[in-house]
Amino acid sequence: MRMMLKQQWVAAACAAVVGGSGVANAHDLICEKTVNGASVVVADDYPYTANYSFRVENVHPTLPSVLLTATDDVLSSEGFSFVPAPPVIIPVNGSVTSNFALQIGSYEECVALAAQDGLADNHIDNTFRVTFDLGSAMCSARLTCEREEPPPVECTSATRTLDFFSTRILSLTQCLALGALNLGPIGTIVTLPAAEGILWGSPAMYPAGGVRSQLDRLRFLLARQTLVGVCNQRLFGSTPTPPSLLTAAVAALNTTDCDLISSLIDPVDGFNNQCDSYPLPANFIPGPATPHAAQAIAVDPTSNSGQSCSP
Amino acid sequence: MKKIMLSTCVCAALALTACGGGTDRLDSVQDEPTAPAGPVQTEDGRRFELRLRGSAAEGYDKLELPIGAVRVTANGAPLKVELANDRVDVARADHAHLVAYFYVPEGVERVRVTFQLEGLGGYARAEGSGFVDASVAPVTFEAPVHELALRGRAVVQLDVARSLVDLGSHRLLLPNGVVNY
Repeated sequence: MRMMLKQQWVAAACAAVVGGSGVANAHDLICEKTVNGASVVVADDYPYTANYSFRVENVHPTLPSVLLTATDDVLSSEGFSFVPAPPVIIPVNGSVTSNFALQIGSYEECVALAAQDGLADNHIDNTFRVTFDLGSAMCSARLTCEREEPPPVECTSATRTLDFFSTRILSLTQCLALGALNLGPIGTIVTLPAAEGILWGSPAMYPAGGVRSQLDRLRFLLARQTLVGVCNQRLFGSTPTPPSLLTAAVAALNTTDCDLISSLIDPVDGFNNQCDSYPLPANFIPGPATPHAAQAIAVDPTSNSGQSCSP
Repeated sequence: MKKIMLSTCVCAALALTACGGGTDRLDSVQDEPTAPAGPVQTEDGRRFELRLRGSAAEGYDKLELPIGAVRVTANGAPLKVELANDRVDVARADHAHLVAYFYVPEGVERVRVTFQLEGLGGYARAEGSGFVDASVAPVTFEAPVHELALRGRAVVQLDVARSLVDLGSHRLLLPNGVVNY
């Protein structure tokens, strides 16, 4: 009996000590953050609504945990505050969830928000942080800012790609019949073998051997797309956007500005691709695709310019 | 009377252990034989450790992450930091790697720690290996110095399963986890 009383007394003292020390609540919280239900999303259509969800869960097996703070530095500046407001006691197996809708008006606004997360890029990687006694938890989600796709071009005339012209001798012949093609330092293309040579040549290697310099490689890549673009204008009456695109491409070929040359390759390629499925003019005879024959007559007219990128 | 006091203290100690027993938080502390009992006093102030470890890393034979920078501030003012490692392998869940030391002068009550992973890391699993894009926003946390002082360190514990997003060509690191003191 005496032994039992002693055990009860110790148990009571234990409860008092533990209770008084403030550790009756545990501190084992984890968090989960999603944006539009995922860890990684891409914003490419503005205005864009990012629905953030923040969930804090008590993972202690037997005791409630106290959520002391819940913050997200980037979203706080946009008006986010966790609801219910901490401190919050979360029971065993319990969790609390707070939602926040972020409206992003434009790509520029998105990138400006992305810069606030501590790394200047096009990703909003803001971290949600919760604190509890003797620790904290963090969780992240990524929203990537991308520019909106330009509206699709309404085709009123056809364009065809480099593959089309490189394999159709008759089409390329008709293009050359309308005049020589000025490609700046690449040369003025008059003959069919030279034109096929531009379309079949290696951007990496000079025809005489050796690796092309960066300038000559970029010039070659722009020249072949420009050649195709001029043929699209001549044969099908197509006009790029802006209308001066091909003129600007030839002007760029005459420079050693590699950034400028490089920046025009995709736009010219885009022009050549933009109405690839639009029907050819009714009276135009494209000729059969004969890639082997076309490649066989190709003679790359280019050579080492001896120049390099500048500035 | 001494016996009663002793029983009470033992009981309190047991109860304290039970309160956190079985959790990763306390396990992480107990697994570190090299952990200091508290901050080390130096001429630059008390020296604390910042450590990084992985959890839920099953299936990873290797998970190497590049450490870009560690910044620690108190009331906006930078504190002295010494980077100890520029890459750590967090596939081993039983070891918290030392990342940096930081020095806290007397009188400072809170510090803000910013821990930047940067560049490309790598992973290896039985089914293959690849790279990890760790160029993400920094991990930041604020810690009361009196809590850090209990063990002299802060341990960032990355939940690997929740932190790596498979993007096909590579994996993206989005830090999810806990920071324990």
